[in-house]
Amino acid sequence: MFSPLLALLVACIVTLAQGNLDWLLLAIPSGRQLGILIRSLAISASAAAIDIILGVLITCACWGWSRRFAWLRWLPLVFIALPPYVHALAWNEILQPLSARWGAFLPVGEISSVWVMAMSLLPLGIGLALVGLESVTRPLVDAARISTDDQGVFWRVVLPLAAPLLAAGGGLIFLLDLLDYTVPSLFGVNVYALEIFAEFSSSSQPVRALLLSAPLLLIAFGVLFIGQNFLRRVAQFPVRKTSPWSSPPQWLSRFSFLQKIALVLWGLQGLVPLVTLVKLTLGGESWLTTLRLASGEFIFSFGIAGVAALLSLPLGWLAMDELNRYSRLDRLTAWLFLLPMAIPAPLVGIGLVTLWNRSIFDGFYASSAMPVLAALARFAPMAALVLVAQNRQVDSLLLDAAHVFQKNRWQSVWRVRLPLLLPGLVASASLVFALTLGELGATLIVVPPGHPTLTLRIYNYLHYGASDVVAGLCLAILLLVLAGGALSVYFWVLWSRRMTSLELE
Amino acid sequence: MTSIGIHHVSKTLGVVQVLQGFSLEVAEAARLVVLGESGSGKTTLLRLIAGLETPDEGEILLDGQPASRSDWILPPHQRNIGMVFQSPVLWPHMTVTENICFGASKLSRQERQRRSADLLSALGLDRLSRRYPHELSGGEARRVGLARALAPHPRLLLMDEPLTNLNPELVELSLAVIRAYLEATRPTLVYVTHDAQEAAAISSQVIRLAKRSAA
Repeated sequence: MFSPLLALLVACIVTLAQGNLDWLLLAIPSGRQLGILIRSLAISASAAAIDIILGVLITCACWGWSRRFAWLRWLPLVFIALPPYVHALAWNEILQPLSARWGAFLPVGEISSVWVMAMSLLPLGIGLALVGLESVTRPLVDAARISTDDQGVFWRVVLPLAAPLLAAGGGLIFLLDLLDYTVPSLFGVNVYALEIFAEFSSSSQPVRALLLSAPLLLIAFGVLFIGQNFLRRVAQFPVRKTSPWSSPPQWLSRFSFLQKIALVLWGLQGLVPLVTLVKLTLGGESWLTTLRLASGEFIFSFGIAGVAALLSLPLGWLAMDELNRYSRLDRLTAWLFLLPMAIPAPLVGIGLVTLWNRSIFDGFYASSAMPVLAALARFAPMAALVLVAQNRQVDSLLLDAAHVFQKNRWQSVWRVRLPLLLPGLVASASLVFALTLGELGATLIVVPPGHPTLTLRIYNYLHYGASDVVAGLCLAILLLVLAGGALSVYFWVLWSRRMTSLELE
Repeated sequence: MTSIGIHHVSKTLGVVQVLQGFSLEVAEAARLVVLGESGSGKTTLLRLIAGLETPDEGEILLDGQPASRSDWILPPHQRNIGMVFQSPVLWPHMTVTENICFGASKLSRQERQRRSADLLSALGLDRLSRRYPHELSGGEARRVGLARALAPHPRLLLMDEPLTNLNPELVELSLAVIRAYLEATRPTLVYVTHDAQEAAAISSQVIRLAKRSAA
């Protein structure tokens, strides 16, 4: 996971030692670069703020649902798996008229980018808001309800207690938005992550790309450093089956109205891609023909994503215990482990090229292993965070009992720990699979010649407009995501019922 | 001072029917002690009176006015109650004083501060006003929970085993504060405990709840 950055740092030291000290100026943004950096920060911060605010409002609205339907609040998380470019394609159909009418007066590209980025990561925003707000325990809420109305309880108790976790969640979304250029580039907006890729493309100098990315790395490392303690807490909070309110909260009408708007946007987040893609696909050539022509890319992309998902599990497992500790030294280890999340996608690809593009690694460099490595470098820390969350929910006494009665260590792992961690393993593998499927920034640089991934193919098509071919491919991904998500939810409900029945017994 | 009327109230939690057709009348300014073993529904009864739980059947009246039915509930903050919970449940982002003053927001700032200081002094906690809950011992947190319930001078006081896990000296001190408060402000009190001696120190009006089996 660290190899891309380490390889680049070594190359940087060697290059600077050779006398290219004037390249250091690249690390200090000025003029056009500074403008792009500020624009990138503004776009990412706006998208992250929208996601967290909508997430909070939607969570508040969900607390009014009856207990029978409360589990439905986790369902939209399925849409995390939908790649951002699918949202870009779908929303572009709606935003195009806006561009035509207001393009001369408003920064429509930037506004569209913010909106699409916010929509594509909204499920993550909802998920993080749910975890953050529902980490406040019911007794704390009950105690406050004795003295003030539910609105007051929310503002004075629930929100302040959840604020660190919400801020960490916002930081995570901010990083994901900041380090990828897929969506802004589709709306013709130049962002700093794209600038890194452009620098590497024009100069073929990995060190120049690294130096250029220094401000972005500094900001991203800082956000991660401030948020890592909270991020670990996000992962360590148990996912509760009930809301912190013993009875549905009563909101002020204005606040309820805002919640309703958020719920409508949540609905649109899923419906807009579905409806637009079906409309575009039906208006074009045979969908099956489109899928048959892209079958090679489908198989290759799903293979890459599948292998990355499987390999992320042992890595996540190894990191799980490390991230659960609390000492100052372990905090540093945890920060180091989460550090790859702060590396811009193009820089991961450039680092891997620097490391593996040598004659002795020819066979490996030109193989499908490179996109797998890129995916692992980017997403394995997230798999670990999910596993930490699941591990936190396992009663440590169950593991202690297993250690007492075990025949050997493997019996405990295989018969007790693995089944208890199974939902977390499935969730983290699914997350890595989904993120790898939509990965572009690093894959574009390391993919072997003649083997474009589905995302690359769609991305290239997208530059020529929203064709029925692109829509057909995106629709296939959307349906696969929904099917996979429905299976995951079904599996989770089954597992949850089994665990509940065991508890009652 | 609030009178309480509980009429044919039933409540099921999960698969356990905690209360079935339960009725009780508590007069204004009365001091009622509720005894019973674990799982007999003492805490559920207090939570129903507080409006933190909705009855499945029956009705609860406060001062003769409907407060809880299966389809409607008067919000807890509109019942003019103070409550000591089974565990201290102090809000971790507020200091001791802020925790105590939270429920007394209708009073002026000076009056809130004065009441908080008086209660902290009476309970032997005067040096802890600026501390956060994680800086308190279990016994200190429990006494802060007691001060928080008393500070707004509620008309109805609900206490759920407020002196559990306190050492004998602190039990005596806290009982003295509670008794002095009851004499001074005369609220209606419902006091849950499983300690017969503690019950006797509070009131002679005692009811005992029996444990029910699974529904």
